[in-house]
Amino acid sequence: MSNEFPPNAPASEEPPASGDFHGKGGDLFLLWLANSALTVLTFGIYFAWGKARVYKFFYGNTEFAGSRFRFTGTGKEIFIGTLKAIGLIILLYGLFFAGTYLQGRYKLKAAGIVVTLIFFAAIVFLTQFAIYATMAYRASRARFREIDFRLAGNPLLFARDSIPRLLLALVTFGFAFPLYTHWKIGRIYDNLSFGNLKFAWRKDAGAYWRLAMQGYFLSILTVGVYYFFWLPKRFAFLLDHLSVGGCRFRGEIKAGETFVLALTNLLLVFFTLGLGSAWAVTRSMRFFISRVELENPSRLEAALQVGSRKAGVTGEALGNALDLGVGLGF
Amino acid sequence: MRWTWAWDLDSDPGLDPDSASALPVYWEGTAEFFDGRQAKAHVIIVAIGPQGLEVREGEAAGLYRRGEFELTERGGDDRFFSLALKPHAGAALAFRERPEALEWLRAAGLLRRNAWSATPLWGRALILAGFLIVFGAFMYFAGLDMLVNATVRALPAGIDHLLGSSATQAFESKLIKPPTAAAQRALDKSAAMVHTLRPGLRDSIRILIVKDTSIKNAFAFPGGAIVVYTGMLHLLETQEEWMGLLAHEGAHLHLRHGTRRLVRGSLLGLGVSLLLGDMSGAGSVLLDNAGNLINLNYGRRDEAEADAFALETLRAHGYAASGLQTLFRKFLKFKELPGWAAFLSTHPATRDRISAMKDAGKGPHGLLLTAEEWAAIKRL
Repeated sequence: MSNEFPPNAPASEEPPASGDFHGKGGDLFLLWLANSALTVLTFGIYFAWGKARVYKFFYGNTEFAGSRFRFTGTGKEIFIGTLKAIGLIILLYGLFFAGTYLQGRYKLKAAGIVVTLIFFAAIVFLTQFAIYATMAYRASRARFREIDFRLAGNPLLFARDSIPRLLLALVTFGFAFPLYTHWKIGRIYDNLSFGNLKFAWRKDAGAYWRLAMQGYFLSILTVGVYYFFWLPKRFAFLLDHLSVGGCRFRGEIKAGETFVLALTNLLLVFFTLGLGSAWAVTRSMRFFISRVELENPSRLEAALQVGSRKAGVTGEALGNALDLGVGLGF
Repeated sequence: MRWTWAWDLDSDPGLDPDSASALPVYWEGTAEFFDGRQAKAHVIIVAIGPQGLEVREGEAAGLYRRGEFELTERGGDDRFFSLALKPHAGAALAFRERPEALEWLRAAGLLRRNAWSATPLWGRALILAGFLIVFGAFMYFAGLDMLVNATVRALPAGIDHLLGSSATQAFESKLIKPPTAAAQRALDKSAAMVHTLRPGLRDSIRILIVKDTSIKNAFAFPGGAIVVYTGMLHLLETQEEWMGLLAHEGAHLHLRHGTRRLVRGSLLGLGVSLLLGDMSGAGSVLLDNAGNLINLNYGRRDEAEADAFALETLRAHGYAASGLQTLFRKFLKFKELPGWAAFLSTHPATRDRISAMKDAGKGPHGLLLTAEEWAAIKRL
């Protein structure tokens, strides 16, 4: 099937399907507590299994069109992937320190500059690689109605193609950054599929850039107040440009309720000295997921399982080690 | 349209149509069946009995016995669960709002009951909190020390030098070079005294005088550098105080307190980051500060240990040990944190340090420097 973006759907009797999140803050808090305790008691080794449990919590509690998602990854694979990622980072830092040592030892100033530039270029490249690889891992371990998701495409090519866009953002002092974000979202969604049903992203870089600029500047001018009006616009924009298997997404959140959510979450976290974070996270998940809708959801039933090729976990672990908060802004 | 099984019932090892209808039934209801090939749900009838899980759709029926199906991760929500059907890779039964079905599966012994998940939330929280408290107490009272000791022992002494050398570079521009032969001799003799306080120190001691009268302080860097500000020198009145000060700073070097502090800080940081896991925000700040407070406590302990080391080794070498006490008496006029806030201090309260040295005046009264050398030091 192609990933052409579908035209506006004709009036359908079928009601749109909506999402929901059933996770409870208490369960997540307990999960974090258990993971922390076991991670400390095992001197860090358990963290990979803990992470798998957290993924299972989030996937397993996310419902769409009456069915839940399922995370099929394992702690063992995350652990092995993490070891590989750590090895890669140690190698990178080792090369950097060796370079700076040689520069200091033999007074090679130019060599030092080259080593530093190569190091930072490698970090930027790895970061972009990790963004795509993280999404690929998470997609390939997501199962819905016993059909797997898949993010095709090569993370290395994604990293290669992102570099000029990031450079453009750099030389334009960030003004071109929304163009990179728009490209990144498109690249990921255009390669994402649910079984044999492909996702599609309707490209509209100009509209996204204008929306982003509006958000940045008006938020600054209004000391952050406009942000709560901008967030619903962005949420609707992203969903309005997304489809899967010919079914279009849509969603609406209101500025007032977004503000109330942010304020109550802030108070919740502040007055519990951070212990309320688990409740804040689950409230936010419920808020956003329950506002996502999909038109003609019965078409999802046509999805057929294709192959069982799984994305590697090293890139995801690398993203974790580089402390990347990978997401698509929902 | 009649749904048909995605596999052949008769040849399926997991399905036994003949035995299915004869089962007593604990629970019966509907579930969604997914064959793992297409995302289409088939609503089928499910019955739970002592022999297993019976599934029926129209006239087709079959039985999955214990071990032929397993619970998939539910994300902690019993209202929704699914069972993977092992004989058919990818196939699963999804139950919505059927927590009683899960209870019956467990009660019938068809699923292994996980003692942990069966424990109520508050019970699990208590057990985990208990584990953390016991583990935390062990680490605080013994475990951290054991780890620090083992790590510091494993680190070669060269590491101390490496750690200290970069720090001392910051003072290079403010260092005072001994202007006279007597001053140089006094510093050399003082460094030699520190070195020989206890055998086994591999660092070579360097005493660095930093020109800044506003700072009344001295400290030792890993690797053998003892930095003394001229502000502190001016505070000293007797040679005993100079010897006491150097012996105290020398103790930090002999006991590798600087390296230990760095190792301890790193281990605490690692522990905090492990403990944080997915936690963020104010929780991380809280735990981070707890780590800092623990480190401060160890810092105060190091200072008290250095005081005791200085007294003991000065006496053992026949030197007067009273100087440290008289020096501390001068610190009494400087403002300190109130007693209730002592846990925030890097050093023990001065009064406590003085009272711990009440016998400092007893014992030998040997001096290190000649009157000329001591005068040269005072002139720096």
